[in-house]
Amino acid sequence: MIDRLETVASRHRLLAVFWGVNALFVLALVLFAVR
Amino acid sequence: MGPFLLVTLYVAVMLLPLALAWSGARPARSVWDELATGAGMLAFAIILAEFVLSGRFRAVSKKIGMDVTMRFHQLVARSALGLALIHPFLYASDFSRAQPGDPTRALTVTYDLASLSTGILGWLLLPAFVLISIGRDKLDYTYETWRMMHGLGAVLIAALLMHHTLSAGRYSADPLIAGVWWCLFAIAVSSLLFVYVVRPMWQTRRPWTVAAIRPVASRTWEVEIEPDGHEGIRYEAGQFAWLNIGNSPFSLHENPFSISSAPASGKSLQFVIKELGDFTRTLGRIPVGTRAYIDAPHGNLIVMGQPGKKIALIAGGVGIAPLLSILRELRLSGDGRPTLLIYGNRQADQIVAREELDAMTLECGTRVVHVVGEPEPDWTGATGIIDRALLETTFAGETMADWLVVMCGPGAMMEAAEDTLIEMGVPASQILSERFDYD
Repeated sequence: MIDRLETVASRHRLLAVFWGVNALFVLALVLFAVR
Repeated sequence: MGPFLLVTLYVAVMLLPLALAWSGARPARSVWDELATGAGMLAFAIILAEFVLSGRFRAVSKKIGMDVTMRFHQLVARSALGLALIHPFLYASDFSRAQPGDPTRALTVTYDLASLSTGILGWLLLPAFVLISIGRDKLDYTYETWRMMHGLGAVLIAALLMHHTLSAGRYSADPLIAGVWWCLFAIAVSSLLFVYVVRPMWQTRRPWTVAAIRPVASRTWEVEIEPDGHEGIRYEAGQFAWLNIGNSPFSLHENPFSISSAPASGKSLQFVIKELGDFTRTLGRIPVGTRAYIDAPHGNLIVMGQPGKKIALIAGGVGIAPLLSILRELRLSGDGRPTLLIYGNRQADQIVAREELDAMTLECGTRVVHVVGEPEPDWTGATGIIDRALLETTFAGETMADWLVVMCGPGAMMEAAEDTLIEMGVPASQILSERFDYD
């Protein structure tokens, strides 16, 4: 859970969420393209 | 709605046009053509969502955190830019007229200039827009000019891309997908209208008045405002407000400042503001009685309800403002937890509320460690910066896991202090921090 995002841990989670979201986007794009 | 659900909703909405294109009746083309179209669709969805992310909506920022929401807005803009830039280059099919017997354009990509021109213009403007945004600190624009340019530029790019998507987009020929694009575009424009029209209208009904402006340190002022004909706001110590003094709420003249007063002290709000920018340099000339407007409260730099048997506050310069609010609230609420303040300034005459901090030491046992970078010969306190040596000396003999640490100051100072404190044993979840240059 992302609770207190002004914490240090939360900033690490922000980057994790950002890269996770990007990975999902890339995966979705590839699946869409090769369908 | 929790943060996990918010992120899930975000991803789902971003992928909705792709999902609808996938489930539609149109046959898939070559992998490269589909990748090109998919990248364009995804980039446009991300761009439209940027309007909502930057709209200071408490439903989002309260759960996620204001500075994190804005950081995500900035980061994901780079993703959109990358996808948009590769979009036209991935097409493998020829740009040509639609071929007879190919009504769904499975074999060619449109070369109709009217459809492509808006896309090309948007494609050219987008990198300039993002690069200017990233490097705006180095540009000589006022904050208001910057906001105006950013808002208008975003609308222009969104409108160009909307035209391009609907006129050139193969999948946008599907009324359902076109409808989704219109919905997302309407939400984006509504967000902007809410920020620049609806919220200011609400603010006109809840005006504030400047009750006092007094110098509290070298080039630093304390501004006090009181509600005019209403009950003020409910906030927590450590939060901040967008403050607009002496201008119409419809103007863009508002800046984020931490509230330095304690919620328990009454309805009026105080802000400690340093002369750093265009607006702050004029503070000393603002007469008492001037009309003010605020958008508040924002921010999650809140101590109440956090774990930690002891509270350490670390301030760099004007970063003292929210920490002063927290100290004042702890004092007024009779919170008995041991409290430590490490307060760094370049020069001793920049220390804010020095007498009040001394009084807190006497009355509440608050330990205050002043650190001055360029001390006068008669300075007897710590010198230098808030670094590892100072933190290790200050926390010598302490069980670090007992401490909740709250920090506000310049980014470089906080990053160094955060790393040191974590190495010294403070759990990362017990370090709250806020940068005063994050907007």
